[in-house]
Amino acid sequence: MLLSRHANHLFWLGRYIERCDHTNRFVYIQYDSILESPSDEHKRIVLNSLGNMFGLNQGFSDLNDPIILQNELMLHETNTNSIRFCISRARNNTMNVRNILSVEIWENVNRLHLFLDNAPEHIQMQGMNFELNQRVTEYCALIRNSINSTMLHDESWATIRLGIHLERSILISRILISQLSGIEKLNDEHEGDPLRFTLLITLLKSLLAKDMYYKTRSKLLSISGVVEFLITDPLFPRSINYNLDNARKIYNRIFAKENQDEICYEINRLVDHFKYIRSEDIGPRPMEFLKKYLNLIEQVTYNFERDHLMI
Amino acid sequence: MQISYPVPEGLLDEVCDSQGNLRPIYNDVSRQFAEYDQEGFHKLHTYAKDYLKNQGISFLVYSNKTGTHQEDTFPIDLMPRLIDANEWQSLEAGMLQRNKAINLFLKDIYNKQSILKDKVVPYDLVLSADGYLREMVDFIPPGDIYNHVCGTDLIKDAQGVWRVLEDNVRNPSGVSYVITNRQILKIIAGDLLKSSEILPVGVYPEALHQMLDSVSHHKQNPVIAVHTPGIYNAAYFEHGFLARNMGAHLVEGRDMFVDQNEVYLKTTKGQQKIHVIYRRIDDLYLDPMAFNPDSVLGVPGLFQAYRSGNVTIANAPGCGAADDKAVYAYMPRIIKYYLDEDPIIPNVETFFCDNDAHMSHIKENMKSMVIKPVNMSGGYGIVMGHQMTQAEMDAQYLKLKHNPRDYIAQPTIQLSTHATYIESEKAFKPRHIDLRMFTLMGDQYEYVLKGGLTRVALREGSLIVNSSQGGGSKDTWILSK
Repeated sequence: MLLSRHANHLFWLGRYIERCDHTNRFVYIQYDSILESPSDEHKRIVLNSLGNMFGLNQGFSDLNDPIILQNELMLHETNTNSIRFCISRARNNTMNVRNILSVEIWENVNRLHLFLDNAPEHIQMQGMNFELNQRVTEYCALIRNSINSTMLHDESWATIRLGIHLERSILISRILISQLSGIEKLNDEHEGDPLRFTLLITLLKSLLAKDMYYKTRSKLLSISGVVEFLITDPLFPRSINYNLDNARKIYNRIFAKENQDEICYEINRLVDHFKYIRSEDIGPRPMEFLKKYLNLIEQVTYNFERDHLMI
Repeated sequence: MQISYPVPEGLLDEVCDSQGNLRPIYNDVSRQFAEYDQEGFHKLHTYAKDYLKNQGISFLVYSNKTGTHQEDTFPIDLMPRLIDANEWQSLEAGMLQRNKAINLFLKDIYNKQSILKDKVVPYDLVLSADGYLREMVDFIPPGDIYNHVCGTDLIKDAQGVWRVLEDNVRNPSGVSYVITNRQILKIIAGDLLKSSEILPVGVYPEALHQMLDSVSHHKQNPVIAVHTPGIYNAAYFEHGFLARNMGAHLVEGRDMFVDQNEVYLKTTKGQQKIHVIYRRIDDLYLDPMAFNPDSVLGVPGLFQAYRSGNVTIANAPGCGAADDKAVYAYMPRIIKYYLDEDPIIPNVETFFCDNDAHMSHIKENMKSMVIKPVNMSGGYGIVMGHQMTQAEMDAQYLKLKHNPRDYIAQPTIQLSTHATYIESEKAFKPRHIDLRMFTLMGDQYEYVLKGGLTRVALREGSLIVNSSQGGGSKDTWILSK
């Protein structure tokens, strides 16, 4: 038996951990890519995509400063996009449901929170620090592992997983949108040149998809190939299709009511749509496609919170 | 690390005698600690601090200056306090005796009021107590139990006599630190625990569960909830700790509602009836319809459901009438009245401010007295005579004269001291301690935690041991032999 308020905290615990992990990786990989940037245009595209992704108002020159970038997106206490903020919210969620989580989950979330709260000065001053990136990556993996391996796979666990899958679907969509907004602006003269190639590789790395993309696609790197992989692949854990399908399974198993479940219908419809999509359905401008479906995913997420959680 | 220091005259130190020699009961502990040099022991101490921090074993303090809540860990001192089996036996018997009497007292003052009619305790003293609730008159909770959980504060005076300092019958806290302190000592000094054959404390949550089970009107697997004010309450860690270790729900007021005098939880699968609420919020915030209408922590209609017998609330509302420090002074008479026994553990001598003879005594001896407000806890509001100037004492006297019901006075007792690791000096020094014992009273069930929270005043010379005022704690070992 799960209190609605507790379910809300569990759901958001999953979302914040996922958000923290994605932000950590995305920011670091984007910044890493401009360290050996093929051109100023590339730098501008990358930094703009960071700005768009996180709604930052700073101009190009500020974002180009690694210390500002790190402080805004990693260590900022109140910027709602920073990983420090995400983890402090995750910790707050964990505190509220401490009695139903394992000690291991609490300890791992708390340790990450303490680490970010007390990040050593040398980390803060260095800017875009590898040590920081690695520690956050490791802790997020530890937290996810402890969720999977120390909890009963019951309604509480399922609620966290639902949060993770829905958040991941949303973040993949947004990362694709933010990256494609730059790539699509390049005209056809750049087809096959290092700039487009670099941007696509960076996009794949941001979603830990590079190796698996090459494993499943023997074709040359292309926008349509990358987009199709990240949207439709049923087996890759960071494709939208995979995550929505898992969200659907969890929802049907735990939350679906016997008759007339509107959310069940919405999720099933979304998943079935993604399941049978091909690149010709996505079209030459995948941005429009992604924006439309991002709205639908966010709507389903909101409806779930409204109907099942205490909001 | 050696444990040896000069013991000031007039004080009783539980570890070293007046010549500064180690008492035999501490030989094994001393031998274990002697294996560490200064740096090594300091590392142990730091490890314990980090463990508390990582586990989030903390309490929240609101800062008026910053307007935010600050999370502080409750410092643990690695030097355990040892109590031998014989001494423990009389402490345990004393706790059961005292709490039985408190329970009978509460039942009586809310029903027949025999003790008041027989003038053993003054009417106006009880009826004017802040914790006395008229709403509880003519009602008897399930099992006739009011004080389900009691935290009794004891001290050892300079003559080695145990005395009760205070009864905490409303919302006693601290038991989670007892269990976590033991956990830390197990990690650091596991072999020593094994060889010392000490009684376990980890069974407390199970005992609490059994007690709460026993007082439910619903006998088949009653649903139990721990009612917390929320994550910003100072004792939230303990609320979550107990709920988790009992398998009980941890709920806030907004998680519950009352329908047709039954109390329900709001769950993802619909409503679920609750049978027992272990509440960790004050009486006046329990139910905005019955008490403070501004309360957002409580549940509208809860008190009516309680009086209808559909839910048990532990501790019962109105227990504060026995929590009052002025009523405390009558405890020896209360024990005698209901049990026809003398108290096994005596009180500290107490003086009333509405008694002329007592006020004369207070005026003449204020320098060596402690003035306490009758309704505050956490060490707040306590004034030490020896810390006041003459002008301050005069002002204090006037305050007592104008508000006699609000204060009591007691002679300053030199609490016993105990070897305590002082981080700044990297050495053991004597610091004042007390002991909070926890007693559970259920229907045909009673239990005293085999241990307790030894609280230590970390500042030299201080007699205030409360966590909110810079105190720390020690693991308390009850030797089984």
